[in-house]
Formats: sequence, C-alpha cells, structure tokens
Amino acid sequence: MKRFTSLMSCLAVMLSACAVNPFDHATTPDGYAIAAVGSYDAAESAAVKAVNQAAENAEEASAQGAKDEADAYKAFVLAVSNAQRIAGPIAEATKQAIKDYRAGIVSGDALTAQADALKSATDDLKSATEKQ
Amino acid sequence: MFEMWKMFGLSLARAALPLLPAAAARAVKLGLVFIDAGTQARAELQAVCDMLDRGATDAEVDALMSQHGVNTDAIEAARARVEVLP
Repeated sequence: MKRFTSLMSCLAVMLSACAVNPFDHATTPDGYAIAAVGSYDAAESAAVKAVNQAAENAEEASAQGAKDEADAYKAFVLAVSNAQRIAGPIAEATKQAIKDYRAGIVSGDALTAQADALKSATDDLKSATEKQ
Repeated sequence: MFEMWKMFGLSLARAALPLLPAAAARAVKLGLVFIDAGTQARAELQAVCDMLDRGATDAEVDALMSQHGVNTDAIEAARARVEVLP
C-alpha cells in the first residue's frame, strides 16, 4: 500500500511538474506578484481536495482500527493545514501589496520581496500536499 | 490522446475500487483526488497566465483568491475532523 501511495505521489509530482508556470508570463513587479498569488490560489484549491479525502480516509481507517494508517493520513492533513495557515495571510498581504503598488504606495522592490515570500510559502504548501 | 488515456485509466481505477482491500481503496481514492486536483490546478494556472498576457485589471486582482476564505474554512474543517480522532 505504501508503494502505491508513493506511486500516486510521483504521479502528482509529475502532473505538477508539467504544469504551466505563470512566472514566465510576468514582466512587471505587479505581474510577478499576481503570478505568486495565482500560484498560491491554485495550490490552495488542490490542498482542499487532498485534505478532505485524507480526512475521510483517516476517519475510515480509524473506525476499522487501522491506527498507523489513520495516523499517517492525520499527519498529512495537519502538515497541509500548518502550511496553509502560514501561506494564507502572506497571500492576503501580497494581494493588498499589489493594489498598493498600483496606487503608488509600495515600491516595486518591496512588492517583489513580498511576492518572493509568498512563492516560498506556496512551495512549502505544495510540498506538504505532495508528501502523502 | 493523453487525455483520452488518462480518462480511461481513471475510469478503470474508479471501477476497481470495490474490488480492492479497504486500505488500498483509500489510497487509490486519494490518488484519484491528486490527479483531479492537478488537472484543476493546471487550468487555474493557465487562467493566470492568460490574465498576465493581456494585463490584469484591478478587478481581476480583486477577484484573485475569491475562494480563499472558503478554502481556509474547508482546510480548518478537515483539520478539526482528524484532531478528534484517537
């Protein structure tokens, strides 16, 4: 079973590896930040589906007395949730920073730094989601 | 062609679910969710690329992450479900 889940993880990684990259389409600081917010949004949507199924699996496994299996799914849900708790507020702040940049309140460098922080947090979220 | 084979493979996996032992069926279900999520994520990322290519408007920036609150609640709900497990 473990081998099978590893195979599925490989598949998921393979699918995400051939995903389109919005950062290739960004030519300005706000474009770069929009790419970061869009990437986070897509990662969050994927995470929701994965944790819902994992929570269901954990409940089923627990009800059947398969404690190790239930614990594995539980650890997965907690890891994704922890990563989302960190990345979510950074994404909100980046979205606001895009508006502030467009209003002339925030510099391009500051916006890029904010987007880089989000990019890193999104990578952590994706990594947590793919680790099952 | 790849999409056709993918759909065929996914249908086959779904059809095989009742034949599998419980633990394996759960792993397959999660794997299928991963594949669906990957497909959806690619579509969402492509939409962002298109938005960037034509120059994102303020309204589009506002609309980005429109599901964020809903998604956050869903992830927190999943967390609450597993936290009560023994």
